[in-house]
Amino acid sequence: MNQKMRILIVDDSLIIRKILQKKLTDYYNAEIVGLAGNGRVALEMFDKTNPDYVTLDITMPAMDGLEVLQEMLKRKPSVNVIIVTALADKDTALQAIEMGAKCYVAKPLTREKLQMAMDQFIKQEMN
Amino acid sequence: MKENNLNFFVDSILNYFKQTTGEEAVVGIPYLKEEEAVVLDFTGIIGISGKQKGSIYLTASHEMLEELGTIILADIDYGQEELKDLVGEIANTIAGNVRDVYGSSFLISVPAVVVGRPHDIRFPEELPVFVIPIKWRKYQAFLVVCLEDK
Repeated sequence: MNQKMRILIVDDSLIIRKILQKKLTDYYNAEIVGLAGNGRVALEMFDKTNPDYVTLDITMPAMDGLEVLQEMLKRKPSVNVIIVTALADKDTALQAIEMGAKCYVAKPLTREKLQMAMDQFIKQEMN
Repeated sequence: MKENNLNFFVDSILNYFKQTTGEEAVVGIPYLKEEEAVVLDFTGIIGISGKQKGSIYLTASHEMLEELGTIILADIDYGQEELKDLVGEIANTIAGNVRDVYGSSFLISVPAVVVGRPHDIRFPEELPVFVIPIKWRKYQAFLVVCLEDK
C-alpha cells in the first residue's frame, strides 16, 4: 500500500489520542491529519482535512460519538469510521455498525485489537 | 445495588489489567465504606444515569499510575497530564465494559478527575457504598461503587 492512510483521531482521552497516533503512524503508514478531543472540534477538523479514516470514541463532551458518526457519513459517505470506545455492549456496537461504522473496537485498546481492525482496511486497499 | 452485582465490576477490573498489562491484578474482598476516606493521589469519577443511577470512582497512587504508564504509554513521553487522563480513562473503561452485562441503558458520563487527596468523596447517604480493593504488582488502588438498588 503506497498511499498513506489519512486518519483523523477523535477521543476525549489524551492518552488514547497519543497511543493511536503513535501506533497508526509507526505500524500502518498513516498520516494523522488531526486530533480532536470532542465531537464539535472533530467535525470542524473533518471538514478542514477530509480524512479517509476516522477513529471515533462515543462518550465525549459536547457531542456524542454516534451523532458525530451520523454527521460525518452525511458529509462524506465513503469515509471509513472505526469506533474505539469503552462501551462494550452489543446493542451499541450493532447500532454503530448499522449507522455505517466499519468497525467497533471495545476498550481497553490493545495492539491486537487495533491490528484486527486495521488489517481489514489494508486488505481492502490492496484489492 | 445488590452485593452480588459487584462481580461485574470485579470482572471488568481484572479484564482491564490483564488486557493492558498482560498481568493479573488481584481484587480483594469488597466491603461497605464507612467513615474513612478512600482516596489516593489521582481519582477518576464516572457518573451513572439511565436505568441505574449513582457513580463509581477509581482511585490510585501516583506511583501505580506511573508504572502503568510505562506499559500503556510505552515509547510515548508522558507527565502529570497523561497520568490524570489515565486514571479517568481506566475508570471510563471499567464502567463502560460493565455495559456488557447491564446493557445500553447503563449510561456513563465522561470522567471527572481529582488530583490530590481531598478529605473524602461523598455519596448520597441513603445508598450503600462498596469499596473494591485492587492490587497490581506492589501497588494498591480502589474502585468505589455507589449505585441505586436494582
